[in-house]
Amino acid sequence: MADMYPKPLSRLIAAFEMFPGIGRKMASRLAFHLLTMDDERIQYISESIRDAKAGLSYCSVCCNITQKDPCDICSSGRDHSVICVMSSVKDLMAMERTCEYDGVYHVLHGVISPMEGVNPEDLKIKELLRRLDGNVKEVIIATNSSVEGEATAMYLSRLIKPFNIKVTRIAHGISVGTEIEYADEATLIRALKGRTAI
Amino acid sequence: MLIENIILKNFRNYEYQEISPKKGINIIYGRNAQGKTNILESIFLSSTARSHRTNKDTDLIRNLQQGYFIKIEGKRDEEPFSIDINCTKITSRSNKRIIKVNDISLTRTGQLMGVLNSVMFSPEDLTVIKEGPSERRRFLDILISQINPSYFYALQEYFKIIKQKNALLKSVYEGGKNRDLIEIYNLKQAKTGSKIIKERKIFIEQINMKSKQNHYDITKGIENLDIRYDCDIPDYSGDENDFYKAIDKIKDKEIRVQSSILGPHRDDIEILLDGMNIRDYGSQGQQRTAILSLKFAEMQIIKEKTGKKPVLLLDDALSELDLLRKRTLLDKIDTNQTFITCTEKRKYMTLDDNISFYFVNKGTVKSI
Ligand SMILES: Nc1ncnc2c1ncn2[C@@H]1O[C@H](COP(=O)(O)OP(=O)(O)OP(=O)(O)O)[C@@H](O)[C@H]1O
Ligand SMILES: [Mg+2]
Repeated sequence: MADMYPKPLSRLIAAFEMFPGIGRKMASRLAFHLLTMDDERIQYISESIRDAKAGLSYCSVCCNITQKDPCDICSSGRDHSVICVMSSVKDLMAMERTCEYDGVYHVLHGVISPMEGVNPEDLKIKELLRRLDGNVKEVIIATNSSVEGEATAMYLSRLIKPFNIKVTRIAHGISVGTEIEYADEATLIRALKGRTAI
Repeated sequence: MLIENIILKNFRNYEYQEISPKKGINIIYGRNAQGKTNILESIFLSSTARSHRTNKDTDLIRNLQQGYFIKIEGKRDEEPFSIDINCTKITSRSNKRIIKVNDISLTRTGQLMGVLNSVMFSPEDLTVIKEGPSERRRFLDILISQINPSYFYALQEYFKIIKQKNALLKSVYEGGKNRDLIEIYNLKQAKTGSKIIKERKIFIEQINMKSKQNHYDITKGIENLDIRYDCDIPDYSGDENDFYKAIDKIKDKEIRVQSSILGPHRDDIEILLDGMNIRDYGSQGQQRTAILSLKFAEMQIIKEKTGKKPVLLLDDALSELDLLRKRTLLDKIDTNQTFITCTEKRKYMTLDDNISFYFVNKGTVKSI
């Protein structure tokens, strides 16, 4: 079907299709919408994309997205002996909003999911293991309670155990199927406080 | 539950029909292909938002018409309710459906559940006996999920684990290096799988007790019905560690076939009549009786857990039973309202109290 469009348009559609959760239909809708926008907006969009990519990078310590390296959290006076492992930056932001946590983070950028071809080596796990020196006392694993999040947590806890570091898992007082990103602060605080050893 | 009025417009072979069913037994009779089942179908549809025999809503629209309309009015614990279903054809295969309860449009179909409770007995039920294990697991899973939502979540999780594990097995078979990950999925499979098997076993025990009694009553004690959960996991008594050991042992085989071959997704339910597998040894009438005993057990369990007596829909369900079995069955029915379809009026004349008759002929219904 895309063959019927002029080449620049089908390229634009293909570009939108690269985003997660966006299929052909939605991609065409976005592309056609873009065509109706005035030049000023188009420029704003393309500049934001370019600047974001140029100005942001992964923190060399925790793999969070940052403008400076190491990131604000890693270079602050927070408790560096506790590392909370998150599967995404969005989850990290949610945890930060609670203002309850004073340790540092590590972002995996994904969870293990053979169905989608995501294997342990595709995640920032090596980077995490490198951080486990004598100063780290506890690793909190705060992945979702989904099958993938649980499998990732189990995999990590097995890797970390030999380091003789306490590994805990946040409690999910969150109802089944709820994503951390969308959970309210109160629930997250409870989940954090009720974390258990695994 | 009590249905007091039904209006059908352009539904199946009905152009316009009003029916006023009564408390007790409503017998809908007429020759073949006149529209008896269509009436029960409209009730079942208003109860569950789906037909018991088709997934295509457009099948339900009367030929050459643009849409159908069903209205059902009745009482639920003395509280009046009404359900409207309005379906309009958009193209030959798609349609738009608006469901209203007490004149308010529903935003999600799920909200219809529980407004009108009904249990349907139809010839299609026999698939539970005649078809493969997946039909029996489906019967069991639907029933337990209705009553126990956490079972439903466990099932969803389990299927997700199996999907992930199968994808992993495939990638390991194709030379992927993450063989050690299998252990993690096996642990999860054993944990969630054990929960499912445990629930199923508890439930099968309840179903068995009730359906055994039902079958005993219907056959006047001549036949013995037994329903057992058939779990293939060796040396397994419910401990998830044993489950784990069993799948760990067959790891290489599972990699070779790139699939999880042991667990509740492969289990079966054995239906035995006097110790023999009813699928191979039972006569038509015996199979029919067994499925009735089983469905009655389902109804009793739903009633126990929800506290409401559902409307009973018996489509053709009695046709292969002899008179004695029929009578005992009807005596057993503990509901406020039953609909029965059959081809002849005569055979039911012997039954007493609270019976109404409706004669169906070419898409018109006459109260007799
Ligand atoms: N969409 C439709 N439009 C018009 N007529 C239809 C439609 N769908 C089914 N029918 C007709 O309805 C009739 C079947 O109705 P139904 O299944 O209720 O029969 P029945 O009375 O239960 O028969 P039996 O005793 O054989 O079970 C058939 O004549 C069929 O052609
Ligand atoms: Mg019929």
